[in-house]
Amino acid sequence: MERCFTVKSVKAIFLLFLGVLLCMEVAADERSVVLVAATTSPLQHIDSLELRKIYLGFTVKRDDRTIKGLRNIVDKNINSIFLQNVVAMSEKSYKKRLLFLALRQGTPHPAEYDNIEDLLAALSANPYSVSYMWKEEAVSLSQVKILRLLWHQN
Amino acid sequence: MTGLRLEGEETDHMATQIRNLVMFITVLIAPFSIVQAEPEGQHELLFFVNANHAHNNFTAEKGQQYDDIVLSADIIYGYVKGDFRFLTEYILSTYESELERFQLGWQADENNIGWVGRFHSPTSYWNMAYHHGQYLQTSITRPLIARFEDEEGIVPTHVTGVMWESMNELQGTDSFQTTVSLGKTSVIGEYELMPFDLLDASSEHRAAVDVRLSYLPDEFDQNQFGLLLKWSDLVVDGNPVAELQGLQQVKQGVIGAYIDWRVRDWMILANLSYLNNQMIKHDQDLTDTFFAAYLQAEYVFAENWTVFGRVEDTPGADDSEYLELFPASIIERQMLGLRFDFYSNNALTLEVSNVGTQTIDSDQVWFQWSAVLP
Repeated sequence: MERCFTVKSVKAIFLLFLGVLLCMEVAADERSVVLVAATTSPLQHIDSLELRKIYLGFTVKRDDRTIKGLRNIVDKNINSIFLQNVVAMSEKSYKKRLLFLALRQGTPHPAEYDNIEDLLAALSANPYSVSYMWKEEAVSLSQVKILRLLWHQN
Repeated sequence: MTGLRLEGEETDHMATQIRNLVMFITVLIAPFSIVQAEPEGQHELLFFVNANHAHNNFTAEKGQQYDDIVLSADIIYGYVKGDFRFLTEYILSTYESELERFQLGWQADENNIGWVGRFHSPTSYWNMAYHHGQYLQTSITRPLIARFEDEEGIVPTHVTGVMWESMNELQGTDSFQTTVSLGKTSVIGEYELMPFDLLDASSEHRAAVDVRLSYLPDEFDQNQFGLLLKWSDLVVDGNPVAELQGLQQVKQGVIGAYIDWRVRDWMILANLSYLNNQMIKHDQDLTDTFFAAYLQAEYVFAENWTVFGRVEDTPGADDSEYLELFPASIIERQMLGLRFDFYSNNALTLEVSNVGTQTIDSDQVWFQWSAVLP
């Protein structure tokens, strides 16, 4: 009787562990990065070319207002996804590009935020600003709206 | 920067330089209060710093050698709020203290910016690409046609007036850029070309027009080639050689072409310019022409190492009365160099070259540490 109970317990733990692994796998599969703006922002659509321009120091306007790109550097992964999928440059090349912009036209580098509260405050302060974050985070925050999907993990 | 300028005039300019620096700092600090008050305003403050050691070894018959150490900081401040832009650049070194650029800009639309103030001549592609940011340019020295007025430059590189930058998108990411400027140019001073100084203005300076037409196959990339057109009215102001020549004024026309191209780890930067100088003299006028050309090649290997070389020449220089006004200008150079980038924003560079002026040849060895802060 006791042995039977032990076997059942091991089976249950194994199944539970398998279940947790499967859930983690599903969650990892669904990781996405989205482009966001403040809920109050009039911005509706920004295509990938415009977005690249915004973060490379070109001027992109809506309603005669210049759109600002804010960088989310809360975690390394999201920064890597930004570099690879938005500006299509290595960190080193992007830094150099920003230095050239400052030197040639006095263009300041995009503001960087290493905590989400400050990023949300900056987005709310300027409705013509955009940033990016994990989709599940954006969905859970009432202060931002999703403009488009930037990256999805396959 | 050979340090030659320092010897003759440093003391006379010291008071002016201090005044200039104080005014620059005042201007620099002012926008900070605006930035704090206005969340949309953004600013950038950068320090391009470098320490150079140059060793010059003149030819055997001259038997002269000299060493030169220069410490330099190039301060860049940029401020953007809405469509308004402000950019200033100040050089502070053991060799000079000068307000290099002071520009107020207006972003007319997504593809057009208008500027007013003091800026670098748009027809000097090298200077428009690197300005005084030594860390960003691979080589330590600049080619003759891109040398600044106070570095034995032979064409004006600073203009005070208005400039318009326009970008026209073609197909996809192709673009065509036009930059036009009109303003006050240099005079031919006692030792060198003297640009119009915003902080010490004089009325002798006359007009210059610059036009640069560029084609970029990908606007997100730096690869480009283009055409350069420049016309300057240079008045003689105390130059002893010019007085001996009976020279009063030079109407200088420059037409040139340039290419800045990268393929994988290779980079080529080249320029060919034709200079036509109408020398207006007391007795008779004279037309003086020559070419100025350079080709610099760079190859990046092992990620942080760059080997580079440059060849410069000035065909027609031997007969040029105009170049006699600038006897220390380097009109020939064969150079090789090696650069090592370390940490995130530091570089060590070694450059070895054989150079020639109109009268002497020499070997030069340069060593430099450069960085950008923060």
